[in-house]
Amino acid sequence: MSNLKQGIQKVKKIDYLPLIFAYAVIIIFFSVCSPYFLSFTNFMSIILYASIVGILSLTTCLVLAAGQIDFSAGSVIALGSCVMGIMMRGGSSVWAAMAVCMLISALTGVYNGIMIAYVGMNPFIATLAGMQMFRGIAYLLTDARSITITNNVFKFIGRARTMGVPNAAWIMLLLLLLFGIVAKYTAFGRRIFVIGGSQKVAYLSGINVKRDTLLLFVIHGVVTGVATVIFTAQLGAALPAAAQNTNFTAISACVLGGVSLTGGKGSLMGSVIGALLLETLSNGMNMLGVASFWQDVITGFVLIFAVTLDIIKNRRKGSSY
Amino acid sequence: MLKVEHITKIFPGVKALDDVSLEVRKGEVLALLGENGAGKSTLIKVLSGIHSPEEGEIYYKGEPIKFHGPVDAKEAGISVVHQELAFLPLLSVAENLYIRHYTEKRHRLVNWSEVNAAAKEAMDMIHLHIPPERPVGKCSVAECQQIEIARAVYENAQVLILDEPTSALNDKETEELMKCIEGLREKGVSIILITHKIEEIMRIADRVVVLRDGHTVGECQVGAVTKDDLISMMVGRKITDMYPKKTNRPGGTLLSVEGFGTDLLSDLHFTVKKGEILGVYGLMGAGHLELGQALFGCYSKYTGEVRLGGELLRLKSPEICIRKGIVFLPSDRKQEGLVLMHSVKSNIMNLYYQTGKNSRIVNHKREESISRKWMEQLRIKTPSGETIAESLSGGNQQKVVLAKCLETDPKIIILNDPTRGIDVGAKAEIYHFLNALTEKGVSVIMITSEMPELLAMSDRVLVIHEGKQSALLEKEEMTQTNIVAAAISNDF
Repeated sequence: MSNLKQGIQKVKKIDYLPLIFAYAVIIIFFSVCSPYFLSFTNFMSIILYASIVGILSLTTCLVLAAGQIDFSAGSVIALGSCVMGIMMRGGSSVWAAMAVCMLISALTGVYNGIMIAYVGMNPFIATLAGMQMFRGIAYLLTDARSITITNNVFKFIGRARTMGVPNAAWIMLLLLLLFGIVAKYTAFGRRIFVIGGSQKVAYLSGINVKRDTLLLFVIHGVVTGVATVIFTAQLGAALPAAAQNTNFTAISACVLGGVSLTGGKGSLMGSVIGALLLETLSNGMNMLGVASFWQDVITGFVLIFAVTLDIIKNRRKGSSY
Repeated sequence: MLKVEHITKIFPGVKALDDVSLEVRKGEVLALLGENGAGKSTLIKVLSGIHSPEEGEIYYKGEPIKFHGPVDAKEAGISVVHQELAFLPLLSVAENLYIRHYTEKRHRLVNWSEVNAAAKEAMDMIHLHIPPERPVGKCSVAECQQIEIARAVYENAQVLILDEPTSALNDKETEELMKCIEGLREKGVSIILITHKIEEIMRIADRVVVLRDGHTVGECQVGAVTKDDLISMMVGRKITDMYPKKTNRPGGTLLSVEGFGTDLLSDLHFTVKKGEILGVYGLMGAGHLELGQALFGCYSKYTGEVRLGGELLRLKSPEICIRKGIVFLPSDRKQEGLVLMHSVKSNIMNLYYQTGKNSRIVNHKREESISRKWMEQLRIKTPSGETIAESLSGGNQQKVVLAKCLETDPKIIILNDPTRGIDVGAKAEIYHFLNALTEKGVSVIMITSEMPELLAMSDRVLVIHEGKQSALLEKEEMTQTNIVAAAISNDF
């Protein structure tokens, strides 16, 4: 009996509990409205498309929890994708292309990290500049033209399934597990949250704030690289104008998952569920034939609604401010 | 003037105020005394309209009154000067004083000469002379407080509530504030002074009301009670030994500092013995507060040599210092000591992984047992280790900061104003604990602005004046006169 009570207490403490409820409501709503919505096949297709934002939201969540923000990831995806396209069109192997993509993504992390941690630039500005530069380079390299890619490895990563589940989703789950362990069971992961809670306290606690921030952005860059490979593989093409919204969708997913934009708090599991929720919403609306501009309005509204609920939940009782 | 009767205020799970009554008369200084958590803050919030009480009446100038928010109370003439001052540091003193008018319709256009003139007029009322154009960020804490008081007086406050106004002031600034309060009293302003410092009550208050656990436990004329009476009323027990009898026996030299200097400090020569408490004193702005940070590696540019047990130290970052066994307890626990939104446990573990001695893999069971150990040893009052640090009282928060420092098993602990703004009970506990620490051979550098604490706890005292060492006093020479004399002038 007391075990049950403890269990309930533990469940109640989960930050993203309202998110799960909201998700359930959305699923029920679409199931009622569309006969095709509630099926294993459809859910697998949702998870297939959600995996890119889901993967990106993992380290986006950590970046936000560290009190930072990144606006450049979408452009990094476009840049990495175009570089892979050019390399493979020129005849290099898919493996070399992927390695270079990872390297470039990691270097964008080095750029962000150095600008923010060592130069002391506001992360908003540094990554906004990065967003424009990386996108610009992608256009320059491709002459603003798209490159079609057909490759068996990419087909395996982007479309194939293992045990009925898309491989992209497996990669997302693997990374979720990995970063879950990093966040909860390594000193580095814990330091990220202390830095986000207060850089001053972190510094006076002997944490090398600059080095850890740089390291975090490099890791974020590498993970963006993974997302790039999956994105390119699913699309079967490299487009310099691609992934304009991916970055912001990932931030939205993290916010839905209960991350604090001032830092110090965030849930990886919540962020992935947030990514799934957003993809489910768009999938459901597509099925109902909602016009795409209306979809934007509704998605924006859902985000505002969820955050408002969270604010109301956390507002202190008995105080008028 | 202002009277409350049978006030009860209930928060989920706690009765913060239980049948409290008090009265402040015109032109009177009423002191409100109580440990942290006694209900003082809640009472202020009721008086200033932030909380509305479940039961009880508030009478203002003889009429029953109900406030529906802080603006109501302010308009009626009740102003609060809070512990944490809410100023915009980049804006000028004058503009900060004027901000309220920006919401009025007739002030859609800003007339700067009028703004500055009004500020000057307000400050003149309490004989404060600060150039109105100066940014508030360049004013000292003491000046900010007086600016806030000027604002209240200018807005015709008839009841002024001061919430622990002296917690960040040195003796000289405190004296100035006391004079300012006396001036207001003569003008017929009623003042409610919330404080931990009994000396101040004896110095300035007419009457004192003591709160404990949400109840009024006593009300008396200041002339009729002694200091010890007040303390025992406050804590419900007699603290005859607020300061422990010192039982440490300082050993050989552990830390030697030679020719040490930073941009604010220069040419310091002193040693710290094993198991001793070296007190460091200075007036506000003397540079003594920076000494703690400098010895903890926060200034990467410094001159001179610092040796720990003979080994030359590179004081380049806190990270290096922690690895060598030096830890630092900052004065501002809310900004620098704690991640307020994180749990008590997580805060206690903040330094643990930086000592270089512990595994970088987090073991949650071990974290649990470490935090439980400190919660017991330091008697940290918290529902559990998972409680958010922000919800603890000041004294308990300070114990959490102390715990995170001590978990590294340091050789030297540098304390920067260790008992600022915490209640008498927690203070006494911290003093006893420090004594026990030094007994075990840990050295303490205690930088403080509080004279009684300095005299009672230090084995020797280093006095700093304008960034220079003006005296290093042995136990026999440590008198208040000697220390203050050295703090005021270099020619001691």
